[in-house]
Amino acid sequence: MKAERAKHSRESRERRELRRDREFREELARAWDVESAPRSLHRALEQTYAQLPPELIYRRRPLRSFLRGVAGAGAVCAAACLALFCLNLTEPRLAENLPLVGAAFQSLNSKLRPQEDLPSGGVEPSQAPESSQVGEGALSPLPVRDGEAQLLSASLSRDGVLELEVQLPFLGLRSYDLTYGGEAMPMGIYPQLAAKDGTLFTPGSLQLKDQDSYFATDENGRIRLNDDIPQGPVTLYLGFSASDSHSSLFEHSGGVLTFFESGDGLYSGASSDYEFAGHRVAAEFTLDWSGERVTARPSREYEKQGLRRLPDQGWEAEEWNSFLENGWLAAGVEVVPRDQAPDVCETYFRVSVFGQDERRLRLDCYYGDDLVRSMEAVPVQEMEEAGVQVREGPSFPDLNIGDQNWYQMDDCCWTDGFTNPTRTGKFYRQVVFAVPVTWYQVEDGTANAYAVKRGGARFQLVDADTGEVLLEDVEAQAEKGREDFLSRWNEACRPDTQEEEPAVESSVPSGEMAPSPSPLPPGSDSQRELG
Amino acid sequence: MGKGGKAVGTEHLVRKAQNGDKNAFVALMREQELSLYRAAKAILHREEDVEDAIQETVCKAFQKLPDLRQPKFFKTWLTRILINCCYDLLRQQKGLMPLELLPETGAPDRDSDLSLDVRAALDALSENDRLVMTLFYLNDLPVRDIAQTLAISESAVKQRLVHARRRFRNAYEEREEESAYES
Repeated sequence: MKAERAKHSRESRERRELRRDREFREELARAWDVESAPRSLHRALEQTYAQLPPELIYRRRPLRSFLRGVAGAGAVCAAACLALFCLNLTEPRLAENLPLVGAAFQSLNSKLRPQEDLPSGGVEPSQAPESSQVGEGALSPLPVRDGEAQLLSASLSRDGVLELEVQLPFLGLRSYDLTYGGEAMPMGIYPQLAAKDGTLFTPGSLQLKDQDSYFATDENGRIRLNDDIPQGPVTLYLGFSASDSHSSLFEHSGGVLTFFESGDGLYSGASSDYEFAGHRVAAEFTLDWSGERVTARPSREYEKQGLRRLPDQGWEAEEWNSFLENGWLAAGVEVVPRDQAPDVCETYFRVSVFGQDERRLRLDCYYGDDLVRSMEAVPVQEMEEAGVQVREGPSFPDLNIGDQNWYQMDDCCWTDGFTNPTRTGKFYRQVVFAVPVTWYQVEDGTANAYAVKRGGARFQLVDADTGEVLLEDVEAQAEKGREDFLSRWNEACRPDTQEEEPAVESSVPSGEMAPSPSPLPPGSDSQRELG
Repeated sequence: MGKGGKAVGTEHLVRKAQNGDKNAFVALMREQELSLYRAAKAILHREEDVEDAIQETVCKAFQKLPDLRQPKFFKTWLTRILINCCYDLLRQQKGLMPLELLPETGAPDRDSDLSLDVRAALDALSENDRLVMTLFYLNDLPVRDIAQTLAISESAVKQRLVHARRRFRNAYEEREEESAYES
């Protein structure tokens, strides 16, 4: 993280240095006396143009033209083949029904389909209902996509373990504070499998594909992610075992697999109020393991409970930017209890802001109309270069911004780093000031104690170099921002209006493959121990 | 017209010129006149030499343009020709260098209102630095193209740009402070 921060800072400084601003260009041209070309040069060149032959020597190259044409045609063919293979990966049935090339895809897919997924437990292939045979009825062979999520593979082993491989986009892999079903689960992802009689199967195992190193256990035994949180889609292995439930998987012919997300949302860095995020559905698949292999299709069973779906990926990224004022966003102000504060800062306010630039920031604290304190978040790299000692400590858990270090100079504490809020896919600079609630000021040899109470204090974010006020009142703006964000979030989480798949849905025998609606998502209220 | 639009227009002219259209070639050259002048001026000192080098560049470009494979690299390609012409000229004059070709270390002969500090800072820039700054800031060539043209690494180009700009800016800020103090 530190190296990344330094790299980011270096790149940003370099960009600034290499900016082609108009004033500098004009100054440069004036300094070198090259603002315009002299008339004498223009006249000389006009003479030269006049003396040139009437035509450039045009060389025809038939071989090159032919080769260029062949290469172009080859490229088009290659692109078409690639598109067809991609189509076969995502919609194999459609690819197999294409004229001319469909037969080739049928042959290819039949060779590639795994044969080892056959269940041998409670359900015999011969007992499988006719309507759920592979390639017929409602269910599709894997992989199956639902929105941005993709169910890549699924198999039910002889000992009754349902193993699923799912690829999910930015699903808030931020921290692992929540314990669910005896296993530490990533905050933000709640996979849940519900059989048609309402039986819930809790995942017995969870693993990030090839990325075990991203997991670490903290002092409390909770699983947390390391710094290098994967960006972009992640692949999860999920295992549902009959031993985790009162009911055997073999007693059911299928179930509904739902991925709930409780994103840590816009104000995660400063606020413990996660309620607004709620539980939204990221993806849902209806599984069938009654046939020879496990098949699936995307479904909308969650709508029957009035649950709503997450907005499309990218929504947060757009929204975040709309909340920026002067390039900065007020995230929140909180009072931190004494016993969790670092040494020098006793009980303090935690003032958190996000932004997009590297300017030097100052936080002015007003009590009533009086400016009672100013704190400056000194760019740490700059201080180090200048040889000024900046005390650096390990992550302060209560600042709740991952593993970022906090810095301390005199009695000012702050963190300054980069964070990538869930599903935004972007990095933002995050600065958190720890403002002491009580401090002492010596006047005329007398020490006076000042205590700022919440409600009377106002925190103003200022550009330390220019004095420009970036955020007039961090707390008020954060509160308003949170309300606005919640409102827009709820608006964006409307019930999905995408068309279902009527053709395949209609062929499902009534009651056969229509599992009951999923129960309430796990972790709602009682199981959530966030903040 | 935006930068992209201009680039497309330039590429269109290059293609027309490659098909033999002299008017397109002349239009191209007129479009690049100032850029050529600035780049040549960064290497050569006398106006007469600058004119000679640019005229030579125009003639060479006229002969070689049909060989240019990718029109989008026209500007870089032309700059490369110009720089070669400038260095050829300097080579020819080697040993016959008149007094005015010597580096300009004395008082500036231009009636500019530029302060001595800035002038000194600019004069302190080496020819290479000035050329790099001219190509990047005034002629809008990307760092990668400058690196290819001058046969140096991209990081070397960036380093030169950053150092030269800082030197220039420091001198400029000092001048501002002095003038503020005097006023």
